[in-house]
Amino acid sequence: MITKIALRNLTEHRSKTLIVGGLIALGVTLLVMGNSIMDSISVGLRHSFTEQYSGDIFIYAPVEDEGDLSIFGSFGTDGVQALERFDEFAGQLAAQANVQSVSPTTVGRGILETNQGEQGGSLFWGIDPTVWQHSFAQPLTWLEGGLWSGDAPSIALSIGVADALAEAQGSPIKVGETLLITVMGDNGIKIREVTISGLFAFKTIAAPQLELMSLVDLKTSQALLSLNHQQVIEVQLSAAESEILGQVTEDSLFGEATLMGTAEPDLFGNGSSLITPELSNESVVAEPIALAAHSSPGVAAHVTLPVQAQFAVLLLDNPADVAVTQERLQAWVDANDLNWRVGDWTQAAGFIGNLVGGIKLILNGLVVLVAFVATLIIMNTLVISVTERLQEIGTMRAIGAQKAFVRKMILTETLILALASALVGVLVGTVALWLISINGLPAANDIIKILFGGDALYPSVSVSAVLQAVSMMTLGAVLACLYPLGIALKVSPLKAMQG
Amino acid sequence: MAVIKLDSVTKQYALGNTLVKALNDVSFAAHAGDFIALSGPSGSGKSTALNLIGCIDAPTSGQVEINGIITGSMSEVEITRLRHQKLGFIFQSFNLIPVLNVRENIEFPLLLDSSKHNPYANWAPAEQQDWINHLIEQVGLADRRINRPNELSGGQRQRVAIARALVTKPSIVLADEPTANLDSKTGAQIIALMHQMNQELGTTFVFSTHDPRVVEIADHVVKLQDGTIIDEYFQNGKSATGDHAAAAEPMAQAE
Repeated sequence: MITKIALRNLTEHRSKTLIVGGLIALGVTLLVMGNSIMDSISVGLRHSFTEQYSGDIFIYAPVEDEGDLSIFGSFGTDGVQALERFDEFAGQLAAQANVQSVSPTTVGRGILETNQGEQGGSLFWGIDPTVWQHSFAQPLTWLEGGLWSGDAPSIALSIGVADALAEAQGSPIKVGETLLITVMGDNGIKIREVTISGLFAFKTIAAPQLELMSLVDLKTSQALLSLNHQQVIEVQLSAAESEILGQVTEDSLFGEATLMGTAEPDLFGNGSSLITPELSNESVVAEPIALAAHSSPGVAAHVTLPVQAQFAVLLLDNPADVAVTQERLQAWVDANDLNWRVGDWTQAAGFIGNLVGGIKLILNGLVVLVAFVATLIIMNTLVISVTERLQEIGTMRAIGAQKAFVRKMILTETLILALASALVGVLVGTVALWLISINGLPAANDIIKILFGGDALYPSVSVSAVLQAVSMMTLGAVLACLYPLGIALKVSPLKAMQG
Repeated sequence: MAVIKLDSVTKQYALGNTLVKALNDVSFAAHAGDFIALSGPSGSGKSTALNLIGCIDAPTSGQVEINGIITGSMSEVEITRLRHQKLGFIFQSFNLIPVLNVRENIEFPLLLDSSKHNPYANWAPAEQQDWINHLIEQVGLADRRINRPNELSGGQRQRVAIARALVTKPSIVLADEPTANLDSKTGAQIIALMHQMNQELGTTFVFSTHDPRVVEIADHVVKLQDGTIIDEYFQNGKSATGDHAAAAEPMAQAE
């Protein structure tokens, strides 16, 4: 009977039904379209980042302002710090549940100089090509060559950088040519010669920095950025040698000579251009020496210098569990007392990731405002409607209807109207999105191009957007009817019948 | 036992800064099957008395008893339940539910209470339908079952109201100026119908009326003026005890 009365009242009072229903439908349409578009942008951007460079999990060392840090580097005064004891825990990290691969990464910016002396700037990621190729090679378009193999210092040039250099020198840049990379850092100037292994372009430019992002072998990047690289040396010591080692001081060890006697000079020296004591991880370097001093004669001693990475980029077996995995990894990091922070793609994306979140926040703020105004209008309309029906409600109360019956009747009417109107709104929003997706939503400027991941966005209806829209507007309608309901129930049956 | 008892009932209303006594120390009783007319000019307090008996208003002082139940101490839920189960209402303006048709309007009171206190929930559906159909036929609206109130005449609407008032088989039906919005011929038919229901079902009917035809056929007449009873008498073979003894002389005349 209540549903029957509700449906008939909605039909009888058409103007009220159309006003209230129209507002709800409009609100739902806007919510469905707005949130679906934002979700499409968010999903597209997330895929762009996670599949091209950030992975599902992004591990970094803490900085004072994490808002300044992304996989493209840092704008803050801290700079990008190294992940402490990375080599010690990299294996354990890779063995964690749901972790598919761990890609150590460094980031820097430098000046490239061609053989003809022409210069151009470039950002670079230092990568291990074996792991990186497995994880992120798909989104690259190789115009020439590819990633390097072997240990030779190498660079894969972004086509944007290559074109700029080619223009400067008046001739194309070719695979196999060598470049000098110069990096100016807190530890002075570092210069390395690298061979061009390939020229590439990212298929999707999800951030402006990608146009100038080249790829450098990890060892060369560590040298350029004054980060140590890993070497393991086994030394067979005699008793006399062990005794001598015990007398070795840091100064005598790190004077002019190197431990390795390699072609790479001054890696751990105190030369003016190289590592300062603060950055040489002294305690770790000193430790092997102390161990060697206490070794028995003839016992092999390991001299291990730590692999340093600034980021660890993780791909997960099941990306849907990223939040749970992130939490678990952070707990593991904290338990091992490491300086690592476990973030997701939004941290890696930096400004862009925050932009999407910020836009969604503003959109939701507007939505709340619209919902509030709509609720007020609906409330006023319902007050008029209830006032017109006071005599009817009073009669019902007089002949035996409890307040609960009246409450149920008015709420049923409101819910039927809200849900039916929300359904109309969902249908209209879905059709509108489908029409938009035929030709796509064009990107008006470069920032929007980045958000869209291309020249146009092809949005699809998001289930979460539909559910959110329907539940928000229905809740709004129910809240809107509480005040008029209160009016209806407060009036005594006698007064109601008297009008 | 009296089905209705008013004992020294007073009702006051605030009208701006003035207190208006709509009823002043009124006492009377009615028995089962009575056909009572509360008569008097406008402002005499007859509608107020009816509203107090109907428990849609509460006395300022005094006591109202319905079927031996003192209504003053009841909660709003209990009073509403009492109205639902023991009382039927017929209003001057018919007060039908506009979106329901004749049959649905009559059926409506049976569906009001979904709690365990609803005695009508135990009725078999067939028994319920038979009763509704019987009432529809009794009020002469068999060919109007599916019509809505806006498709009926005044007299037809009041017939629906009568049937609705009787559908819960109440012990008391309260009718507030039921013929006020009807032409004389229709009014006479309505009065006759209600009298017939009173005779057949034994339901007590209490009228608030200034219609002399109602006063004429009433068994028990209470005349009010300025909120007090100025006369009370029984006629047509009824007595104060509710028996068909020789009618008592009107009180005013006896005094």
